[in-house]
Amino acid sequence: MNEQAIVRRCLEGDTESFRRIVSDHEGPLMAAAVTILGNRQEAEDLCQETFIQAYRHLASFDGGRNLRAWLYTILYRRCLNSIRRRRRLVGVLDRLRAEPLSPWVPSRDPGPGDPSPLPAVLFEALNAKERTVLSLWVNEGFTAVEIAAILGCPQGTARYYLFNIRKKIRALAEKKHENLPKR
Amino acid sequence: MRTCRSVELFARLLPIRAWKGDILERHIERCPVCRAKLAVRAEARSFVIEPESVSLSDLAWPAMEAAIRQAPPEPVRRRVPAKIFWRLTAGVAATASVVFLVVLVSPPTRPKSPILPRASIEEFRLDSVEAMGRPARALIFQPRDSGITLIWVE
Repeated sequence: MNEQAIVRRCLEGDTESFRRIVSDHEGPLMAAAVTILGNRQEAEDLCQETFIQAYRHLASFDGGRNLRAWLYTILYRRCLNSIRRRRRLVGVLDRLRAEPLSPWVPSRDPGPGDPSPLPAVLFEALNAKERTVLSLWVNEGFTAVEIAAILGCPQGTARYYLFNIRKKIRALAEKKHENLPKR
Repeated sequence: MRTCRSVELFARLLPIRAWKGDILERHIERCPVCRAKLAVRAEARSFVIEPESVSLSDLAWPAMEAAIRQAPPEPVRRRVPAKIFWRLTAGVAATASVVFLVVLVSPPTRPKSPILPRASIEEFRLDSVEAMGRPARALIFQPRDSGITLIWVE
């Protein structure tokens, strides 16, 4: 059954078809969310919210568009909102405490069943938007045009993000290589 | 090499990200040296979480199912997309500003001549003209849009 037929069945109230959508896209969406947020639990919550929001607004989904790209658009906005909320909270707590809190860094202790943690330098080198672009570029093989559509920005801006990311990743990779124990 | 650095510096000085991206992209397409300085997908793979290594927990679907059963898909609301709405709003505002400026700048209209209403001028008739007791020649003319009729007798 193709994607449009599955969407049509979901709109008729078939929750099993929606379960199929969830199982087809949960991995890529979770991977993107963990790369953006650096926290598995938060990523899972946001992925669930993304799927629920997608189901409620499925009628407005343009059949000519890629369903996964549409899901990524919803997820990306939710992740950015979550990061903004978190930043505001850190700001408030900073004002309440005498000593400022250190900026948020992702948890480095993986829980049971967690994927191997991302290098912390990644979160220092790339911001949330750049991490989103990185995930879409590496995992999905999306081009700047497709990334721009998901981010809702001009194509040139997506190209600029890609240029910066590729340059930073090369630098990080070289650093990682240098730090390897020498025999 | 120097050219590459100047292109990047120039691009970074530009105020709009989209311009920066377009200039850098155009340069990279033609410059193998700069292209070689950028990471390829395979290199970046170790910096992202791979889709095969993550999934939602077993408890996720029952929770989602309960949520979607409570709120079925909403019917499509025909809304004007935000981009079109703002373009329309800007267009209307621009038109209103132009109209306002035209009204403000245009010269005030002259009041109509109070001497004779146009209707009575149209009924104006000259049967004979005399000057100093002798028949004379009369010239009648009316400056355009003046509301005045001049009669010259000689």
